[in-house]
Order: sequence, then C-alpha cells, then structure tokens
Amino acid sequence: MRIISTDHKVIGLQYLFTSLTFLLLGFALIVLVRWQLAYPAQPIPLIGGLFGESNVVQGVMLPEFYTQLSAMHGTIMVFLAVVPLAVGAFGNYLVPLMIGAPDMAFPRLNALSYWLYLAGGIVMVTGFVLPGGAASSGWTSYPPLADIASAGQTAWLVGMFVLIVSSLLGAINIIVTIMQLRAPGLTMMRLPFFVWAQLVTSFLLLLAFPPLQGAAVLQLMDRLAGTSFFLPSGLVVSGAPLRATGGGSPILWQHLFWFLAHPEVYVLILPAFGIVAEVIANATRKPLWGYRAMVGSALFMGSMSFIVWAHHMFLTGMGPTMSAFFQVTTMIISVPSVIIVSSLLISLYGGSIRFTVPALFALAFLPMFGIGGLTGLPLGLAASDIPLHDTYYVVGHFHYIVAPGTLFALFAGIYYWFPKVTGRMMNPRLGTLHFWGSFIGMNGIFLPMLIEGLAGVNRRLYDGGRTYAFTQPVIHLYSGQWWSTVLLGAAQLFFIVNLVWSLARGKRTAENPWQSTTLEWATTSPPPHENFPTPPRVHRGPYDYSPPGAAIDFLPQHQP
Amino acid sequence: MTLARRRSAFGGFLAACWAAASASALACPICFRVEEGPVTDGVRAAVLVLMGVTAGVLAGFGVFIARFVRRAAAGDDVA
Amino acid sequence: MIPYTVERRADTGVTNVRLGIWLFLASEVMLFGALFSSYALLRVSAPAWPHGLEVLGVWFGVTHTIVLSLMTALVLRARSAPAGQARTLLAAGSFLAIVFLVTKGVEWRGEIAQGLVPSVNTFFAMYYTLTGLHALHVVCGLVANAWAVLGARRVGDAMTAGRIYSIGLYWALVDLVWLAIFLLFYLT
Repeated sequence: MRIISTDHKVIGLQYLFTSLTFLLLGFALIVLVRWQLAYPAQPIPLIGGLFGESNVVQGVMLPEFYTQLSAMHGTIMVFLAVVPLAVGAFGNYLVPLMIGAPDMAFPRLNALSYWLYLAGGIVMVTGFVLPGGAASSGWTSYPPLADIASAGQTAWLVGMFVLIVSSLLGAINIIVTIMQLRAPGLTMMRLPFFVWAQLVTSFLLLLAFPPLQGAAVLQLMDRLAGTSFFLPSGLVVSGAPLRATGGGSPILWQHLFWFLAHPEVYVLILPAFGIVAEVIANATRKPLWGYRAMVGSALFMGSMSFIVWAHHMFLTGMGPTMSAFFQVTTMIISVPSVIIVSSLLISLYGGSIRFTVPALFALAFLPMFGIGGLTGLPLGLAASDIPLHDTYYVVGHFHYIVAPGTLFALFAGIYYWFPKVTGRMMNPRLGTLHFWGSFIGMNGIFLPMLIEGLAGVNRRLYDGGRTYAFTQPVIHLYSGQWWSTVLLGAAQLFFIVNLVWSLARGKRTAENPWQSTTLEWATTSPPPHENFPTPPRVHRGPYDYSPPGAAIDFLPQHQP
Repeated sequence: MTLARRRSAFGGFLAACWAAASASALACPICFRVEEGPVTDGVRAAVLVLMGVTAGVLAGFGVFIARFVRRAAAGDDVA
Repeated sequence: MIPYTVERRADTGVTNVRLGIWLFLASEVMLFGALFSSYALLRVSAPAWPHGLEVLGVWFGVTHTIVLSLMTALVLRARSAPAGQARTLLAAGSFLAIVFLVTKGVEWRGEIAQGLVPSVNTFFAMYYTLTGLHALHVVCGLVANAWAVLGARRVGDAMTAGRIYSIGLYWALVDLVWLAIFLLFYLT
C-alpha cells in the first residue's frame, strides 16, 4: 500500500484516520472551554503550564485563548472532522463498492483531494503557533472583527480556500462516479439510500462552497491588500478611528458565509441519514419503509437548502418581506427531514430488530435528531428567534443534531463497516460502554444548554455570563456539564482502545457478517484491488430482507 | 361548543387580528423595517443576484436530470 | 478498468470527463456569481460609484475582449478539428492567452503607478479582485492547454479529444466572465 495511493479504499482510510484525529483535537479544545465555564479563573490542573504565557497565565486561561479555543473547536469539528469523515471517509470508501464499481471515476483527483484536505487542515491549525494565536472570531469569522484580527485569521482563510478546492474536487468525483459507474442493472431507484444521500451531499458541496471561497478571497483582500469589502466607514477600534477606506458592509460577509453554511448543515446530516438507513434496514430484517419518499425528501431538502440561509440573519434588519420569505422557506424545509426520520421509525415497526452496537447508535440517532430538529423550529421563526439568537439555545440545538445526531450515525457506520474494511469485528462490550457513556454524557452537556439559552445566556462568553443577573439561576448547570464532558471523554477511550485492539486482534469474520443485501458485501472483506473480481450485475432493489417464501431472510442485490 | 360561544370566540379572534394589524402593534424595529436605505437596497440586490444565479444553475441541472430520466426509462441502461 | 473514459454511457449520454467539466463549471458559475452579487451589494449601497469609462482604460478593455474572444473561437474550433490541427489551435489559443496576461499586466502597472490601488475605494477593490481571480483562471487554463497538448501522444487521440472538449468549455466560461467584467466595470 503506497502512501500516495489512488485506490479509493486507501484514500477513504486516510480520510478516516485524519478526520478522527481532528475530531479528537476539536474535542480536546472544548474540554478546556468547559473547564473554564465551570471553574472560571481557576488554574487548569495538570496541563495548565503547557500552553504558553500568551494563552495561560499562572494556569489561568486568558480570554484571548478562550476565544481561540471556541472558534477553532467549531471550525475543526465542522470542516476538518465531521464532513471529511462523513463524505471523505465513508463516501470514498463505500460509494464505489455499493455501486459495483472498481474505483472512483477520477482516482488521481481523489488522491489530490485528500492531500489538499490535509494541507488545508494543517494550515488552519498552524494558527495556534502564530503571534496572536489561532483564529478567534468564531467559526463564522464575522467582520469587522475578523478583518482586523491577528495572523491566525489569515491562516484560517488560506486553509479554508485550500479545503474548499479539496471539497469541490471530491464532490465532482462522487457525483460522476454515482452517475457513470453504476453496475449493470443498478438503476437509480435501486441505489441504497446511503448512495442517494452522498449524491445530494456532493451537489450541496459543489454549489454552496464557492461563494464562501469568494468571500474568503474578499476577506483576505481586506486583511492583506487594504480593501474594505466588509469594513464600514467610520469604524473605531479601541478608541481610535480605523485607518481603512470604508464603504464596505459586514452584512455582505454574513450573506456569503451563510449561503454556504446553511447547505453545509445538510451536508452534515445527509450522510448520517444514509448510514442510519443502511444500519436500520439491516437490523430490522425488513425493507425500508418509504424509500421513494426518502429519496424525494433528500432531493427536495437539498434544493431548498439554497433558499433558507438568511434565517441566520433575522437580527440584521432585513425588513419584513425578506424575513417572511426566509421564515416560510425554513418552515417548509423542516418537512422532508420529518419524512425521513418518520420513515426510519416506521421501518422499525414489525421488524425482528438485532440490537447490535451499530443498531444502538442508529436507534439513538432518531430521538436525538428529533430533539435537535424540533428545537430548531423556534429559531426558524423570526419572532421567537429574537430572544434566542446567539444564546446557548442555538448551541444546544445544533449540537443535538451534530453530536448525538451525526456523530452517533458515524460511530454506527464505523462499527458496522469495520468488518468490511478489516475482516474483523469490533468488540461489542466495549462498543456498548462507548455508546452508553457517550449517550449520557452528550445529553448531560447539551440539554442544559437549551435551558441556559432560554434564560438568555449569550454564546462565546469567557465567564459564561456570570456578570449578568438574569443568568444566575442557571449558572449552577455548568459544573454538571463539566462532569458530563469528563464522562463523554472517558467513553471515547473505550472506542479508541476498541478500534486499535480490534485492528490487530479483533475476531475474524466471514465476508458478510451482518447478512446485508447491498453490493459492498458481495466481495471479500477487505475488498481486493479493483473491488470485484467479476463485475457484479444487479437484479433487485437494495433492501430485499425477509422475502416471502425464501429460505433465508435476505436476498443480496447481485444474486440472480 | 354552543353556537353562541363559537360566535363570540370568532368575534374575539377577529378583534385580535384587527389589533395586531394596527401599526402600533408592529412596534419592533427588527420586524417592522425602520427605514429604507441604501444598505437594505444593496442587500436586496445581492440576494436577488445570488438567488438568480443559483436558480439558473439548478435549472441547468434540472434539464440534465430530465434528459437522463427519459433516457433511463427508455431502457438505455448499460447492457 | 474504469469505463466511460472515452465512450459515452447510454443513460447519461456523457463520458466521465464531460460530466466532470460541466459540474466544475457549475461551481465556477457559483463562485463568480457570488462575487458579482457582492458587486451588486456594494454598488447599490454606495453613495457614489465611479464611472468606469472615466477611471479605467476602455481601449485596454476592448483589446482584452478581442483577444479573449479570438482565443475562445480558436479553442472551440479545436473541438471539432482533427487531432493534429486541434493541438495547433490549442497552442495558438495559449499564445493569445499569454498576450492577454501581458496586456493585463501592463494595464495594472499603469493603474498602480497612478495610485489606483485596491485600497483606494470599493470600485477598485472589486475591480482588482475580479480581474485578478480571472487572470488566475487564465493561468490555470494555460496549464490545462499544456497538459492536453503534451499528453496527447501518451493517451491517444480519443482521450485528447475529450480533454480538448472540456478545455474548450472552460475557456468559454472564462471569456463569459470577462465579458461581464468588461460590461460592469469598463463600460459604466
């Protein structure tokens, strides 16, 4: 196995290990933040001396470091961990296998995508060692602050530019692969829902990222060439007028940023829906209920996601007409995700559910995503958004979707497809401990956030809002959240140990241990170079479980 | 509910609507646009341009998809 | 190995590269669309906006437009020309692209000498950003031309024809973006 490989399986694993490393890094950053919120201005135990005088003084975190940690946590988790894991790792590894193809359509472009991702990620994280530290203007990088921030912000922008190139190339690859390289007999409506989800996700990445790339160029011009795309006239910084041309608009950045960032959240959830659909169909031994509705919903959700972005900007004075438009589209777009989750729930009814570790994570995904989605509704209506905007309610909302939502789906996927990649099983006892620790830990962190937000606690505050009288009734929640963080971290140790141990010593398994119907299981585990010794031919849909009158409870797609 | 009660409930509903619709109820400057200005005009122009470009690109995809569906249905699938 | 690199797939009606280039161009349309959207915001909300006819050299703009249109015509012609002729047309197109870049450089140098730098106002900020990004795309197109011409012997005529098709579409978009820049900046 060469390190610069063009084999999609190798590249998928490169994405997997890199993104899991970034996931751990992003988690480590927020552990520090949660400590600071629970025990403000107290010396960080054990590791307080490791961060340098500009960040931590006598063990106590400085506000400047707090904002770096908070901004980079969001950036790393969204752009360097979750999406590369969901699309780069799962998409790359599984899409060619699930459609019966020997590789992706453009293998060398695929390799380039990975190395650009790694390069972009490293550039962004390098910010931590620059004078002034890493980017600290939120993962949203709002000007005017981001325009005048220290060099770490430039690293963020350059890294983001490179990352977007990587993403675009990857998206093109996945779309062309799915459209062009399907095996004979594999019509679009016989595709596993996972593949549909990856297809729509790649469309969103393709079309939504370029405006952010443009915006990054504009912000780089502001920072390096003295332009004022985002700097309004008459800006005063620390008591002195800022020497800039002026005439720009901070709102311009917000529009360009959110034009990407709203479709980005569907990029975060669609692959998760895809994974959960595969695991649930397999675990219930029944065909998925409402496959066509789910496909239609994914397509509808993808298209609509381009016209809802300004619901992140209700407080920018946009006027009632535009506000009404975005409220209506936002309410409409909640419908397809309800259809998808309902279809998955209904799929469970009457099934003989196998409660494997992947199934645990996939089943927990459903109510957790439900909470996340429902808590989004008050944010989509301008009137209720006004008191909730920029509070912890928003943070709780989106973390419910991404953490016990998407991340649970990704964990389910790792446990489910580990035998495909390695020919070994992961340890189910460690997996169960990982699940329960994560489930309790995540709820312990994010449920209180909804309460804190309703009380009015603002986001990104170094002291957790302690100086405000209205936050006093909820301050006591922070220590509970800290201990939940500790529990969550401990639970991940079970996962890491399980992963490493099982790679070497996991129980060897047959080709298709989950008795699944989809094409990736129609070859050896792990698959050979070019995947299928003889190209498969597809004879039926993807979920022919428990066919009436058959001897076994599943009929693989490729079986005549 | 009796007919009389229903009528009075409906009347109350209408009264609430009238009250809400009167300008004094739209006092929030965020919902009720305070002033027209060049910035709001500029934002509106930007949003329309970007949405127009997006609509055009999606329409282009739509044409390809329609053609593809037709060809696939005609059994033009790979042999 | 990987099918549909040269022959078209029946239901999609395209080769892999053909589909790939259309998708890439869609993303480029979104990129420049976002930048023109930014132009719209800045221009509509500005209290005063310079007249391009007064601050920019319109004859430079006309020259650029003619050079790029000629180049695009040559490259599009290359799509239906026989293999050897196609490579010659592509090389000629590259020459014209270099002419464009040199003229653009001369124009920028003159403007900077007059103190018309990106930071002077939002008109010039947008002008330099758009023309700079456009020039970067011209450079990348030159690389693509070289890749198609130099790799032709190794991959054969059929593959090269597919590459030239894709490159032709790319140059057409680059030319269209230039026309938009010409109209919105030089002729206002």
